[in-house]
Amino acid sequence: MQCAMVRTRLIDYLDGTLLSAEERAVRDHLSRCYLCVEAHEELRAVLGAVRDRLRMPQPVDGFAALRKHIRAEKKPRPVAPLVRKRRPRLLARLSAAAAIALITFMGASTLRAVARVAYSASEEIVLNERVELSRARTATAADAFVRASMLR
Amino acid sequence: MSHGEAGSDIALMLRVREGHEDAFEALYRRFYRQLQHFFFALSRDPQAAEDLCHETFLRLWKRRARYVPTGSAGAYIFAFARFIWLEHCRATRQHRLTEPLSTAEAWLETRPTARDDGPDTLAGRHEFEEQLDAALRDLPDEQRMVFVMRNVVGMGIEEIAETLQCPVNTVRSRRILAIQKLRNALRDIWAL
Repeated sequence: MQCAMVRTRLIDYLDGTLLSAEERAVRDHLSRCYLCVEAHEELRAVLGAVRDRLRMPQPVDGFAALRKHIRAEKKPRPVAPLVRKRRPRLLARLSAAAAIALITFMGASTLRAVARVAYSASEEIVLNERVELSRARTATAADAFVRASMLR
Repeated sequence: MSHGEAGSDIALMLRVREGHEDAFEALYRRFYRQLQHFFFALSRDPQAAEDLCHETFLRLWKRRARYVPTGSAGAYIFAFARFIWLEHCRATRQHRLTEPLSTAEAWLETRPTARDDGPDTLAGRHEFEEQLDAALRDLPDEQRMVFVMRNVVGMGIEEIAETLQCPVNTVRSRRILAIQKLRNALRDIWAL
């Protein structure tokens, strides 16, 4: 393996993610090429230093605070009591029946009144239309008679 | 992450879905360090990292009923974390590393240093931190995300691909590009 190829594989070599044959080839090359060894050492040192400086100095275990939040969220909501109230059944049934009868009676009488009014109104309209029509016909006939007499 | 661990993570997630608080605690203990490293690498602010980690787990708990075991639980959790990071960026209008330098300096002061660190070493470290921040800031978002997930959090390439919903080869190429850029940016300071 040539130096250029080794250099492109150094990152994966450091990671340990190379295939075994490739890893062996890189290791063999490093055993006899001091320039690549230098590059390898430099890369390892830079990555190590960067990792050390980018890591949190002392990670803080904050589970106690987190637990407080979780428990606050988990508090059960007040549930409505499951006791049924007894209702006076007979009174309820009677009032329902009365309401239905009232609505039926009122509905029937109201409908009858509305139909009556509507019928009389329509009758009047038809009558008026007829009167208008006959008036118009009479006027037209008179007009025609006058014209005919003038022509004569 | 081994297959056994991944399997047990899924089992944990399934128990979390049913509302078991003990499973959720176990899941938290398994992932909170990784999540805080992830958020810290992106925000460079320890308080923000802690808060965002808390928010991720809280959201995970609230939406536990929606979990479907299709892939690794780690990928599922980090997909949440990534979403929360993007939300945080939108809320604070911080698309990249835009932390004021004073905060970074204050944090640098709090970092543990060896007793025999002389002024030269401290100055060199300070310069390295600044160069590193600048180099990370210059990386495109998706390359930075892949780099952080792989090199800081230690996730597997396949898991990252699952988290980001993209092909494995895309993850590989993004990571290689990110490392090349970082190496070039840090080469001068590294040679000091």
